[in-house]
Amino acid sequence: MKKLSLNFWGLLPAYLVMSLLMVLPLLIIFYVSFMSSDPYGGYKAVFSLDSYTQILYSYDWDENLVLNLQYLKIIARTLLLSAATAIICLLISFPVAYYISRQSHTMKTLLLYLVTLPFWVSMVVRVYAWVLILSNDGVLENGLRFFGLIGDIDSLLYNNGAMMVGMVYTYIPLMILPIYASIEKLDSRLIEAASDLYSSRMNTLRRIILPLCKPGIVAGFVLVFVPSLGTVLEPMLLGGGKTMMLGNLIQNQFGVARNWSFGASLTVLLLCIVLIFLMFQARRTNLNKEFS
Amino acid sequence: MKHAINIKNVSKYYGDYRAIKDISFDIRDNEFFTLLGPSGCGKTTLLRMIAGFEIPSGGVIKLHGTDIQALPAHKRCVNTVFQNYALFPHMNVAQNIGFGLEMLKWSEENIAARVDEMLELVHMRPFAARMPAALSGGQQQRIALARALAPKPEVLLLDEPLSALDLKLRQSMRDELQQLQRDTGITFIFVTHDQEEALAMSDRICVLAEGEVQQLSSPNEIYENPINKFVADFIGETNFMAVTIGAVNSATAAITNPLGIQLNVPNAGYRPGQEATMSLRPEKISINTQGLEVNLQGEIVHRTYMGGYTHYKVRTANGIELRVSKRNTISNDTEYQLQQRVDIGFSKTSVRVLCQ
Ligand SMILES: Nc1ncnc2c1ncn2[C@@H]1O[C@H](COP(=O)(O)OP(=O)(O)OP(=O)(O)O)[C@@H](O)[C@H]1O
Ligand SMILES: [Mg+2]
Repeated sequence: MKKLSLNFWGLLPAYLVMSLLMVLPLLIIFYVSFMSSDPYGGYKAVFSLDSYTQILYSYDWDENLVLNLQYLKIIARTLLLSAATAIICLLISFPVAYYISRQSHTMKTLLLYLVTLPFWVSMVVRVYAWVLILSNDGVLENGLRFFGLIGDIDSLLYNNGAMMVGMVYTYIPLMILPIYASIEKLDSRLIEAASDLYSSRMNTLRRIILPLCKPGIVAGFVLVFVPSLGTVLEPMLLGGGKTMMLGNLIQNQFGVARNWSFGASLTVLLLCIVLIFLMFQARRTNLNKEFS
Repeated sequence: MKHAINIKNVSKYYGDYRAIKDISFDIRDNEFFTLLGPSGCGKTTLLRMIAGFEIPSGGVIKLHGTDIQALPAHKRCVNTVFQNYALFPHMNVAQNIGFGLEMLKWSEENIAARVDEMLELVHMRPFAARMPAALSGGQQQRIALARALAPKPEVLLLDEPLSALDLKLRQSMRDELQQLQRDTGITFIFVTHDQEEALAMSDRICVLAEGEVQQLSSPNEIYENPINKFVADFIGETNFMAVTIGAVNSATAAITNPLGIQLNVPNAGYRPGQEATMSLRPEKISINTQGLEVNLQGEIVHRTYMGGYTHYKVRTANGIELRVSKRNTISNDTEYQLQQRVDIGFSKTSVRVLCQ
């Protein structure tokens, strides 16, 4: 009894911080999303589902609801680009993590430090660095032209490719680290055992290493995919604001468009996507545990 | 006789450290061959070079007459039973055993049949669908064995496969392994630092120390005729005494020894005045027994009762303490007491004179 109350009082500050900084804002967002929008900005405290219907429909000149795929496209693009980011990160991270794990102890420390180094620099600065690299007459373009690899081209900047580069760059440490951890845990004798049993390197990778690193890969995928869904900076700076992602749309609604309830409903939607994804993931990992 | 493995002038450096020093020997086809030596003497290193996980710094290893230097591990017809088994944790028992066959592109029904056969061989049929984590140490051991035997390797390498098991299980696995070797007719190269294990199972034993072969012989030879002090000491127990070679003629050499007995041994190229060590096994000395060549008086100073045996320490008249072990049989279960005066005796042929 006494212990319980001690636990309770001990954890109270944490509960308070969590509810103040996490639960309360979410509740407010949830609340606002069910209010109606105010033509003068903000929201009106009148219950309405308009902000949700607005995701799929808009009013035409005659005030009729018509299907409007504009926002759905943005949502689909967000999902697609995030998934692509996660997949590209995975393809790069696995060899990198594997390489790091094969190095000497000091090299490992150094390389892991380098992987995490960008985190110490402000994200805006890092994304701007990519703007400089990719911009017209920037480092990359001039470099490529110097080696005769490209002729006259459109800008390397302000397209989906540039956005992807930025996103991959931003989130890749979150993929490398968990994969590295799972490779480190891998018993090298299992790899020897596989090659002892006539398994080529490719087969060992496919049959032994990848399955055993799955927890790290899954964790990395979640860690990259989920924050990618909410990306704002890269589309703005590297995409040139031409292509929007869900994060930008939400930002616009709270900012320029001053349609808070629509912004809130989009936020709730984003949250739902993340939750569904995480639940799906959790169920699969549970199944895996039961299986083994 | 055909050789399964030829090892010629093989050495291995780790940086500056020389783990294997210019070793040469042959392993016969279908024999149970044991690499025996203290920890760190290079047994695992040698085994790993045969398996292909380690590249020799020099020398040649041949498998059935073919140089396997250029073959990577996965192309060598040898399989390994790893010390910690190294079963694939994400595959069940049957998948583990079938893995090698799958890699060799056996057909599915052939794999199933072979896996079944292997499970039968190691008495693990009911466990086919288990995951390795749900097996005891001894069971994992059997599966590791079955997995390594399934692809019918030319040579099976076993790196201290019994060391993780408890005593009882270890002893029963000894017999099983030996039986398995006879049944399959596959050459076994067995690594251990347990001399008892080596003596019990092997056709031949190679004693290694500090990366060098000390002696390669049958268990009996190794025990009865150790070639040097290291082997005599490492295998079994013995009494060592520093001796000097006395008068030498073409047939025999006189040995000046601290026991103060007249001792002549066949001359094995000794020089007069040479320092040597004399070895006498405890069980070759008997207490209060008539009709032996050499007889001494002594006093029991220590006694350890071991059940089947009793180990005594007997101090002779000139102050030498000899270890004596006496088998406790039906006809002879006398227990000697501390301080009891006894006669001890042995045969001159039991004495070994070792020069190194
Ligand atoms: N990868 C390595 N790098 C450097 N030295 C090594 C390496 N592997 C082994 N050694 C050294 O080589 C020597 C022989 O090692 P090895 O593992 O063959 O011994 P072992 O006879 O199998 O011993 P144990 O009975 O303890 O298993 C040891 O002194 C060890 O320290
Ligand atoms: Mg070893």
